[in-house]
Amino acid sequence: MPLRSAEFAGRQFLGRCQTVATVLSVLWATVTLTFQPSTWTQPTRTVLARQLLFTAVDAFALVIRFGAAVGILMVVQVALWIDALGITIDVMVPILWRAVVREIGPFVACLVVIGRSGVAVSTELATMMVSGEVEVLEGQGIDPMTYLVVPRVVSITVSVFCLAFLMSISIIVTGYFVGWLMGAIRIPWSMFLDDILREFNTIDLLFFGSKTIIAGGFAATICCLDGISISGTATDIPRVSGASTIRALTAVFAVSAILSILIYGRLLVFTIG
Amino acid sequence: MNDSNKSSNESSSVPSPRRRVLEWRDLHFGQLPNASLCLKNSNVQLHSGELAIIRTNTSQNTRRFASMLQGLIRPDRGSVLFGGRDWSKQHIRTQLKMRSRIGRVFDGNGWIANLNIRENLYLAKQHHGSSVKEIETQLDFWAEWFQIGTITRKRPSQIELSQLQVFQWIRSFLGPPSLVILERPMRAISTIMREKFVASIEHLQSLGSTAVWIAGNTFDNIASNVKHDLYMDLRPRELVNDDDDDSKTNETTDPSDPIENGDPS
Repeated sequence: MPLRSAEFAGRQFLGRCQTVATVLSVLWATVTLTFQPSTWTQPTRTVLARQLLFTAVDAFALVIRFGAAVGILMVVQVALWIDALGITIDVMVPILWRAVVREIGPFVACLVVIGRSGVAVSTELATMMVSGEVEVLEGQGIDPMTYLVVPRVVSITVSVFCLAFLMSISIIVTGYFVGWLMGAIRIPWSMFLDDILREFNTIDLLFFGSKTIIAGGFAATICCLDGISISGTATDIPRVSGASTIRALTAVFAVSAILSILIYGRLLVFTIG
Repeated sequence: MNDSNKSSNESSSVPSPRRRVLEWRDLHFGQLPNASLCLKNSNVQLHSGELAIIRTNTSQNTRRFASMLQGLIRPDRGSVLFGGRDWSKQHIRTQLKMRSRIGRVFDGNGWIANLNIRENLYLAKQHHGSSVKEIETQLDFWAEWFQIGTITRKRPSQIELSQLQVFQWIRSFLGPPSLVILERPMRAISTIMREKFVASIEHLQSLGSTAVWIAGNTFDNIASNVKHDLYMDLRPRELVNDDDDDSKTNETTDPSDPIENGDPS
C-alpha cells in the first residue's frame, strides 16, 4: 500500500513536472519566434491586432469598472484602519500604493484577461482543432505555432500589462475620490499624487513588470496549449476550456507567489542588486 | 507514374525532362478494419504536368491519405517524397515551405471559420510572401474562369456548399502550385461547372502543375473521362460495383496507360 501511494505520488509529481516543462518550452518557443521578423507576416499581424483589440481595447471599460469597485473596497478598508489604529492617511498611502501596484492591479488584470480572453482563446483553438481548421492551416504551409499561438500569447501578455496599469490608475483615482467624499482622505489630490509618486521606485516596477508579463505569458500559453492539445470531439471543448481556465488561474497564483518569494525573500533584488 | 506501369517516356528510354513532383515508395498506410483507406507496398511516381486519378468510395475517409501526401501524417511504412525530398527527413520550416507549393481541395471543412472567404483565399499566399496585387490578379483570373463574379467577403458559414467548393478550387490553384491535391472536388458542384473544372486542371497541367484527383463519389465519375497518367482504385473489394470487376482492391491500375492505348503522354 505505501508503495502504491509512493508510485501514485511519483507519477503525479512527474506529470506536473512534464506539464511545467511543456508550458516552459512553448513559452520559450513563443519568445524566440516573437523576435524573429519572419514570424510577423501580414496574416499574423492581423491576428495580433484583432486579439489586442479584443483582449485589451474591448476590456478597457470593464477594467475601469473593476478598478473602481476594488478602489471603493480598499478605501473602506483604509478608513477602517485609520480609525482603528489612529494613524493618518500619510502612513496609509505607501501601503495602499504597494498593495495596488505590486499585487492587486496585476492580479485582478490577470483575472479579467483569463476570464474574458483566456477562455475564448482555449475554446477557439480547441474548436479549430476539432473542426480540422488547424489541419487546413498546416496543409497550406502555415505553422499553427506562428499563426495561432504566438500572436495570442503576445497580445495577452501585452494586454495584461496595459490593463494592470489601467486597473491600478482606476483603483487609485476611485479610491481617492471615494475616500475624499467619505471624509477618510482629507488631503488634496495633488498632495495625494505627490505622496504616491514619491513612493514609486524600481522595486515597484520590477514587481509590476514581472507579475504582469510573466504571469500573463504563462496564462496565455496554458490557454493556447490546452486548446490545441484537445483530442476528441466538439463536446469535449467546454470541458477543456473550463479546465484551461483553472490551470491558467493556478499558474497566475503560482507565478505571483514565486515572484513574491523571490523578490520579498531578497533573493533577487537585494542580493543581486 | 506507377512503377509497374511506366510512362511512355520511361519505356522508350528517352530521359524525362520533367521533374519528379510526388513519389511514394513501399508505402503502407492504414490497416483494415480500422482504416477505411489502405495502401500496401505501393510505389508511385508523378512528374510535373501529370494527373493521377485515385478512385475511392464515398464511405472512405480520404483526408488522412491526402494529409499523408502532404507530410502531415506519417505513413505506417515507406516514404512519401515531394520534389524529391522525403517529408520525414525535412526540418519543420522546410516542410512548411514545401507545403506552400501544394494546393489542396479539402474533403470536409476546408476553411478558417472566423475569416471571410477573401481573407481565407489571401491567407496562405500572403503568409508566404505574395503581394496583394499578385494574388488579386490570380483571383481575378480564376473568378473569370469560373464566372463567379467578385470574391465575396462573407464568412464560409454564410456561403452555400457549391460556391464554397468553387472557392476551394480557386484557393488550391493560386500560385500556380507544383502539386494540387483534389479531394472529391466535384462534391456539391452543379453539372455546368464540371467542364470548367476539367479545363482548369488541364490548364494547370499545361503550366507544369501535377494533380492528384481523389475521386470519391458519383459526381467525381467525370474523373474517369479525363485524360490521366495514372489510375488507382482504392475501393474496398466488397464495395466495388459488378461493372467494375476489373478493378482490384489496393492495386494500382492504369487504364489510360499510354503504352497500352498508344496515347502519348
